[in-house]
Amino acid sequence: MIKEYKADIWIILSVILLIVFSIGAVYSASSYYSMIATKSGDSDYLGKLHIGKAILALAALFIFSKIDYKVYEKYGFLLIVGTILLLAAVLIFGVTKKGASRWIPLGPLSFQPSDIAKYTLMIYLSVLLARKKEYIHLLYRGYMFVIGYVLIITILIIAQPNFSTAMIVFGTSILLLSVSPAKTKHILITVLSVIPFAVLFVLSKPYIMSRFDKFSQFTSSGKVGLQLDQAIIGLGNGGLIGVGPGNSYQKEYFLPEAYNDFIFAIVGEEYGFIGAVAIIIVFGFILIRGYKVALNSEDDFGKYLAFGITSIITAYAFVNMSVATGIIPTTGVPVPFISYGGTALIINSAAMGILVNISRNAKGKENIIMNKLNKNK
Amino acid sequence: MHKEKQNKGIINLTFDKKIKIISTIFVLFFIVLIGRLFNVQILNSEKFQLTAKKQTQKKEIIRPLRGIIFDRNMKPLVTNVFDVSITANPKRIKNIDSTLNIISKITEGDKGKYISLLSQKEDSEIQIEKLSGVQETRKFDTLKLDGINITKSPVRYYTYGSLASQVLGYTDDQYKGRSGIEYTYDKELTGSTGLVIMQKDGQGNKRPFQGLFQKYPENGSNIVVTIDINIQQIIEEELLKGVKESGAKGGKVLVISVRTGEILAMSSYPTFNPNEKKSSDTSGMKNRVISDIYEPGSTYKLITAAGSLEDNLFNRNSVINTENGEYVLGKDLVIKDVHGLPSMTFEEVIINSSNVGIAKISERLGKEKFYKYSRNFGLGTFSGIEIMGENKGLLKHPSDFKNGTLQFCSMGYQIMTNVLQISLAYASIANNGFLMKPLIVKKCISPEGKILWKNEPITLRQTVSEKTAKILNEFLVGVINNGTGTAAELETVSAAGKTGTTQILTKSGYSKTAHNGSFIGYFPSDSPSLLVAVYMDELVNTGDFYGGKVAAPVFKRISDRIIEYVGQNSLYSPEFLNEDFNKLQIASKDIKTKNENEFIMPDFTGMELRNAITILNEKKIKFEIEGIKNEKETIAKGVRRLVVEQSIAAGKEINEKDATIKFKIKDVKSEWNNTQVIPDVVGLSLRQAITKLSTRGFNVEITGTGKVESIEPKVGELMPNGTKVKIIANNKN
Repeated sequence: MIKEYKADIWIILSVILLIVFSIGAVYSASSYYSMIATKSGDSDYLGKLHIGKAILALAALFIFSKIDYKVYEKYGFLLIVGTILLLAAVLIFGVTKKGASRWIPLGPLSFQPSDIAKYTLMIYLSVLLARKKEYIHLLYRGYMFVIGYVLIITILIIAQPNFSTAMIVFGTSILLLSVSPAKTKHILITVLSVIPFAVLFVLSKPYIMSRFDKFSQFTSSGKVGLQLDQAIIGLGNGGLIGVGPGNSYQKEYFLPEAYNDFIFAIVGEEYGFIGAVAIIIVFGFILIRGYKVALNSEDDFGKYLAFGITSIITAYAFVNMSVATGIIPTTGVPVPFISYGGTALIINSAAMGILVNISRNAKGKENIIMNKLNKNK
Repeated sequence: MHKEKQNKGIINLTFDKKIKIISTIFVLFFIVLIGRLFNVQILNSEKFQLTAKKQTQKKEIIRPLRGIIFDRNMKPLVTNVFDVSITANPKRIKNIDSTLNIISKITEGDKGKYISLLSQKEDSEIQIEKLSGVQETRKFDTLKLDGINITKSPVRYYTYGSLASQVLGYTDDQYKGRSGIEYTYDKELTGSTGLVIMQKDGQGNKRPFQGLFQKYPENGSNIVVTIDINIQQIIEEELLKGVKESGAKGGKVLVISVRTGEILAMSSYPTFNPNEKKSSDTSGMKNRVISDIYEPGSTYKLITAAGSLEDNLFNRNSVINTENGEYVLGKDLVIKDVHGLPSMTFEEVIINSSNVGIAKISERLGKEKFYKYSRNFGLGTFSGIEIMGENKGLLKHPSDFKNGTLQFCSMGYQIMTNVLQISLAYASIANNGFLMKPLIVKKCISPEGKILWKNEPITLRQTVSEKTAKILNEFLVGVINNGTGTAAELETVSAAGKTGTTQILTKSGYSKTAHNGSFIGYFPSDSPSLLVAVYMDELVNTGDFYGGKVAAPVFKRISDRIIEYVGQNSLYSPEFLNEDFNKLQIASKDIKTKNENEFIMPDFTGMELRNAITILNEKKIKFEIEGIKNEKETIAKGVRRLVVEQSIAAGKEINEKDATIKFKIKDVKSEWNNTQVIPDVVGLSLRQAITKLSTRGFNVEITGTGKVESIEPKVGELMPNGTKVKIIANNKN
């Protein structure tokens, strides 16, 4: 097996670009909050923390790109068991923030197990799909077994409660199944039977209902005077070229957590339409490159995992941007690599590292080289 | 690969194809997203930019300070104080303990209270202190604490409370003049507002950056009124006393400088305190001296007489048939005198205030001339006073006269005037026939002290000739000497005046039980300088209701006190009331010099020490002050040093130039304007003692007659105004 192929340099460059950009964006978006919220009035407080995490994230990107992804295939089962235990633990011991128990304190870095869970689930699903590809189209021997893990993880995340992450995890898992030889009928039945539960869950949670409510108000009148409105005002204020780096008005408490869930609005305000579209194009580029890695992967595990990781990053980016532009109801999902994310940033980078590692073993490159060798003959 | 082919339909698609479909869908999603951004950021950008700007900018209007209103001696009558509100946002306070320490130090408030207030609300802005009437705000201006917001809004403060309140008027919550000087000169007093654009954040808090001044505020100009607050105090005290004694429902007093038309004091009872505007009865807010009109009654007879003399229809000795006091003009039209006589001279008609006599005189004058003279005296038309709310009264046109109208008008019925109009008419007689425009404002001064404009006395016209004015003046002296106004006789100078008594017109005709009593007089009669008009309103079922009984004594008390205050001699000075004719000069004139080495020692008790020293220095009299060694100590901050005792009695003649007078002094807090020293009246006649005590605002209770033997409280005690001083005279019946 030839292992000296070059990694997908474009994915690495895209991620580095986004992380470097995020340092400026978070610095600006968090400055006002930092100044007001810190005792000393240090406007750089969150910005400095973010730089530290960005450096760790870049390190993770490189380290994981060097680790042979086949390791995860080997330890996939351990990973998923560990994840389930972590998710259970967070329900029992977790730190509650804003009404949801999502965090596990880990020294200075607290982290959300759900950030890890989405990737470990992808890893183990890829393991199962690669291993059971012979009978995945069978309901009892294949499909039920696979979907069981998806539902366990989804339910554990919903229980925190973290509805939006659970939906993304579930959605990307279904997407992964749909590219596998699993039967479309089974997948459709799964989705259709989950929908009533999801609706029931939404109806039982007033905070989610109110977001739907505000969203419907917003789409009908364009005015709710809340986060969403402020995000749109921010984007609109940016215009074509933006108000310039650091000049956002909206970060000054008009948008809550401007440095996190609504950072896209701040980016759109400071860098304008051009900046916002550029970010979308970069994510689109990562999508294309990531799927290309999946297409070219020499083994099924790498194929599914590359597809899964790429889908998760893309889904997060899309959901967040859609929220900030008022296309879908408000939900607290960060933009990968750009939001002040703490551990999520590091984990996402690590996942991209895995994707890059898969690209090293792409058969496409092997073929190209073989072709070249043949031509040279 | 062959296994994938076992699937049917779309499932038959290869992995490659599925990925291409999914990636296409994602790309489509992204295109929708870009479309949405295009809509928001390009198509609707302008709208959102405007919204963003609007919600971050907070326009703040900076109010200028309203101008100060001074009295004629530059005593501040209306100034500004501040309501200070301190709010705290607990979330933004860096160090609660030290912040509250600083605040409680400045406000002298209870830190514990602030802490408990702050602990009630943890995340929103909360008011922790509200101070009202703060005079010095500089200590708040320098305070810049995170999470603490201090707002101060200026509020009008009326230094003398209810004194002159109807003249000064008041402002509303918006700091805008609503009545009196505050309203009339609102433009001058207001200044111009400044505008500052503050940046605010999403929680409405000001950003911790300096605001951008669009326009700096300009403070209002100051107004100097013609009122003398000391004279105002005298009239308000005496008016209140007069109303209480007579049982009248209300009353009015007006003091005018005859030669200049300046209004020195003006008040109507009831009054109000603009500092406590909300609680006050609104009826006290009206300046009834100009806003209320009524039938002037007998005081109007002078106008009829003036016209008749001026036209040479009569001389003072012309005999008038007064019909034994009953003159029938027609059915139900009878004019009666209180004390009927078959005939009187023209002069006696005025002195005795004969109704029949003046009716007869008016018949010779005729309605046209009567109307002409009335108009000439400024009746039935606006006096021109520059404060709002004047009612011009009612003067019937001759074409509207019916049988008896002329006769009744001649004695002040069926005519309506306000107190100011009729007083100005009298003042013109006192002023050799020259009618002056009434002045209430002397000048307007910019905040920097520049005089912006000035009101000079304006002669409107001559009402009667000097000769006629002289004769009428003599009549009015006669009214006091041996007519209806004997109660108006003054202590020190001769006065002239006229009484008035009218039945009040009700729906069912003239009331038999409700009267108005009035007296308009001026002094000194040989050199008229001040006019005092006194009106007692609605004397219902009171024992006395004649002007000579209820108003003349009030005129006397007021006039005596004013003379004591301004100094008798100064009344004769042509400089009287001139710009630099200040009170100090008035006081120093009390020292009469018989020859170079002889002085009559003035009464220094109750005088401020530095004023006493000024007089002594001028006259080169040596002095010693108990407890004070050098001259710097004669003035102390925050207190008034008053002389309470002098070693050489007042009135004593001092022969030697090197005689030394010794003073004992007492310190009184500056705010205690109404505290006075009980003067030494022992050994004086009762009349002198009463004048002296009442001039200082004391009430008097007398036992016995003759000369004062002792008084209580003791001489030299500091007592507030209105304190009752018991006088025991040596002749105890």
